[in-house]
Amino acid sequence: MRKDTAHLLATLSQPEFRYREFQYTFYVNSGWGLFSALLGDPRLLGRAICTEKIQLLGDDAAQMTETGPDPIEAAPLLERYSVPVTPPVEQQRAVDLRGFFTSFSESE
Amino acid sequence: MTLILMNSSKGGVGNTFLTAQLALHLAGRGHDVTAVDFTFQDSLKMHFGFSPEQRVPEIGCPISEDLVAFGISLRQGHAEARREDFWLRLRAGELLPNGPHKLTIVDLASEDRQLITMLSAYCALHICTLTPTASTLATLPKLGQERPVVALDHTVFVLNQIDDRYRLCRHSTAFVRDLFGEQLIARIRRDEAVNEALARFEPIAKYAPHSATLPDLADFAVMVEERLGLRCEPGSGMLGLGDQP
Repeated sequence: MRKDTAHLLATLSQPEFRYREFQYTFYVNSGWGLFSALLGDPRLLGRAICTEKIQLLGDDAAQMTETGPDPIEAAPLLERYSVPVTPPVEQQRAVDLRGFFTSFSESE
Repeated sequence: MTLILMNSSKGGVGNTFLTAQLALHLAGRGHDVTAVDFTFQDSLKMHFGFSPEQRVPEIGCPISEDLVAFGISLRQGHAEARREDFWLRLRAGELLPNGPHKLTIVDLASEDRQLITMLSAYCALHICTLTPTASTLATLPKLGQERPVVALDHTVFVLNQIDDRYRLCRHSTAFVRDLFGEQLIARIRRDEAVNEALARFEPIAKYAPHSATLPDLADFAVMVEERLGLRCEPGSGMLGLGDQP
């Protein structure tokens, strides 16, 4: 396990976090949004690593996934069949995997 | 009896082809193999040289009705799995081959989740077929309904139809390799000869003996042997079954 990762897990006092080293991260920065979406899906890697990622991304990302109902879900039923409901710009942001991996590089 | 499940999170990824090839390679390495087609398509037999109208005996039929090709016993299980007494008969050992040296490889349709879940309780190895495409990778989380996909018990992955000429394919391959680590036990290169061999009712090894896919398939079979603890018996020239996991 890399030193920075070990330090992070120790800092978070979360020894049960699942650790997986990604060696070929170029695909994340290649514009394929699918990889970021999959890495953010708890059914794939488990909730623990997602929490870890959110911690690294800071409060904004945590709010993005933890606050309030989905604006589309919250919209009145008939509205969903008329004018498309557009989420606020802040909530349209994709999970910042580039920043996630960059943070590892900078901490070395 | 050692049960190997083959399925995918998405159809059309070559799961039936890999089921057939795994059966062929393991039989070629001396194992006593039965291949069971649990899909409605009933196309597993075509990979053994049989035409679509060829009737394949149901699981549970007497051994005298066996349909054998390349040393592999072929069975069909789609209709049987929908009968009320299927589980009773399965548990009673009436449907699948018995015996410590029997290998049964099962082809399951991706949408048959109930059957997959129930059979996985009995299997020694669950092999999920993937392709390096967006539509397949997008369905991956579907496999992790109860536990994260990377933490599924006795589950491994095989990446099929790899074509490194395409950028997304290269990136998807790297992603899957990173994601699953040692759970990814094989990578199979794409070759149109696979499709052509099927259209001629011929095994790929006969139709295209120099296909790049063939060594990948051989490696796949060896990895499955290793995962199952199958071992070579020195001096016998045959492979035997080791302790089952």
